[in-house]
Amino acid sequence: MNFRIFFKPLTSIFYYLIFLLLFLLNSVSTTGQVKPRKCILVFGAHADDVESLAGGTFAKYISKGYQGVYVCVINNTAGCAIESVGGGTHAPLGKKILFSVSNSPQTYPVDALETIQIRQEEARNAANSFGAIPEFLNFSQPEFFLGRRLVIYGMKEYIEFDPPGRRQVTLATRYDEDVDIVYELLKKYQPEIVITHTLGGEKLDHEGSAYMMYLAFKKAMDNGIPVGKLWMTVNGWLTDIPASENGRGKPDVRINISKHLRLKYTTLNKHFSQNGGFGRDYIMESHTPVNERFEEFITVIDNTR
Amino acid sequence: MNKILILSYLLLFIEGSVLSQAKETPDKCILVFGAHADDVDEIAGGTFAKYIASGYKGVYVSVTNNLAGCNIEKTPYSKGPRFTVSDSPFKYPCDGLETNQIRSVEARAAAAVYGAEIEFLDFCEPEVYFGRKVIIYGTQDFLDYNPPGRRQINLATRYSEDVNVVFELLKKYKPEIVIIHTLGGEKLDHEGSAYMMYLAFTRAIARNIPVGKLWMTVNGWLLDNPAQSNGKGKPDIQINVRDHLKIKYEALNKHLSQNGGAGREYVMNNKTQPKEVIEEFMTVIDNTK
Repeated sequence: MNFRIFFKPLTSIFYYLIFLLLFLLNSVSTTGQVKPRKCILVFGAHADDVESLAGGTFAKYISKGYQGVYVCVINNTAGCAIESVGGGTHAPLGKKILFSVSNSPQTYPVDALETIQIRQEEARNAANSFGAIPEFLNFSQPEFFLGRRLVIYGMKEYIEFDPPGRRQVTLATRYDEDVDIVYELLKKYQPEIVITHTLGGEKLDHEGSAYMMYLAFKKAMDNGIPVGKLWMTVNGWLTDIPASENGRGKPDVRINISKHLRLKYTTLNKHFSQNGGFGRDYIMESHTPVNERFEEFITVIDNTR
Repeated sequence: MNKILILSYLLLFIEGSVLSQAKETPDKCILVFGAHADDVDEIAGGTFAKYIASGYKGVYVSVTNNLAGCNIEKTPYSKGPRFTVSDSPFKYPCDGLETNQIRSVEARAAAAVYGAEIEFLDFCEPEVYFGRKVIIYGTQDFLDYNPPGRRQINLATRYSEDVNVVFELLKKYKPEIVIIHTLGGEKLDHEGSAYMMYLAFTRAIARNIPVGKLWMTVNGWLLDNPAQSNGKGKPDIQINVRDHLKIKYEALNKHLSQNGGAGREYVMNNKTQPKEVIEEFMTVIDNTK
């Protein structure tokens, strides 16, 4: 009897320790196997880039129940115009660009703070149409207009005007504290799919944004954040003859977006200051997609394997 | 009849000159476009030496103005020897103007080892040390310091007048081979320099300047798993540089402020050309076909 009394607490402690060990082992293994969330994050440099990068794919995944995160990387200090649309879109034959009051054939740039405000509102409307969450990262665009004068990042006038925003996005890729902004975004959403511009293929803000995401994505992987796949569009040198011929520029991801074109163009038209509501014409004249029913990408990183 | 003959000759002459213009081939020239003073040696030193040995003119380009990267007491390379006078175990950054001067002198000495011409394009590096304080491009301090140089290299890719600086270089040398850093694969100055050359090279082709092939190193996303397994990261150019390693390292060791004379160790540690005896590249553009 005394024997049993002596061992009963010890047996309980033994079982308790076994349970504790199993619980700990289970949580470690769960942590090791944490999967990304059903979330698609499109990382557009400018306010209207999400649509032109991957508008159809974004709409398609959201319709399947994925959370959509609509990212605008820079602060959009430039790109709006008075009398004509900022993107330089020409109205299709027989149609008229809508916001000319004076009927002037010229385009006059809008100042920085107004441009930020207009383009942010447009981006919020577009994200809303997708049913997505907008995120503005506010890295600086490298220029803005002050009256008719172009002011460039690093100039005395730029520093004096002091537009709101972080460091210029390409420069920012050099500094840990800036990469951490994007890393924190990945930590927050743990997206299964992330889409960026082409690495090394395009103009300044696009390239800077793409490389910034590449750095943050790798950092997320290194720190055990569950992120899935990083896809990029196919542009620049990847569309030149050598890369086209040797397969280097061949996309490995092809998404049929036929059923989502309407939403893609509805959202694109929300960026009225850029395309005057002629979103499809705008996108078809700036790119030459083989087939607008498909969006194509290259897998940069696949962390799901 | 005479008029017809004269017209025929004239037509033939015009056609001939048009054809000869269209057939203009690049010069036997190799141009390596390194972002920093010691990048030529790292990205393609053996290939550069090999082509020069076979009769090509060599053009050694330093794209940025090298405002940063020199230290007092020790090289930036962690395993490098000390230059120490005080025996301090620490590194202290050199100021911008001194660094610019030291690295320019080293680059000139390296180019001379190859027997190459040197070109400094003086696009701004994005930061400079002022005492112990790092000053970043775009700040009031950078503006006040006002180091000599053009616009920061990545920003410069946006402006036609800056792209023209590189376009004019291509027009001057008409190189058969141009080698750059990886497009989209690397840190700020490297990526900016690579993209700047890409823009200038395509502009040169559009304006009928006889340029040949644009090759780049393989780095960044091209070394990651997807690109390695699906072949996108596979180089299509392999140059055996075994017989030219001596010159490559002799040139690299001229950058004493960076590697303390331990050039081989430094470059192997960076894994820029990990196979050492074989330098590898990807063809970005081939204008010879």
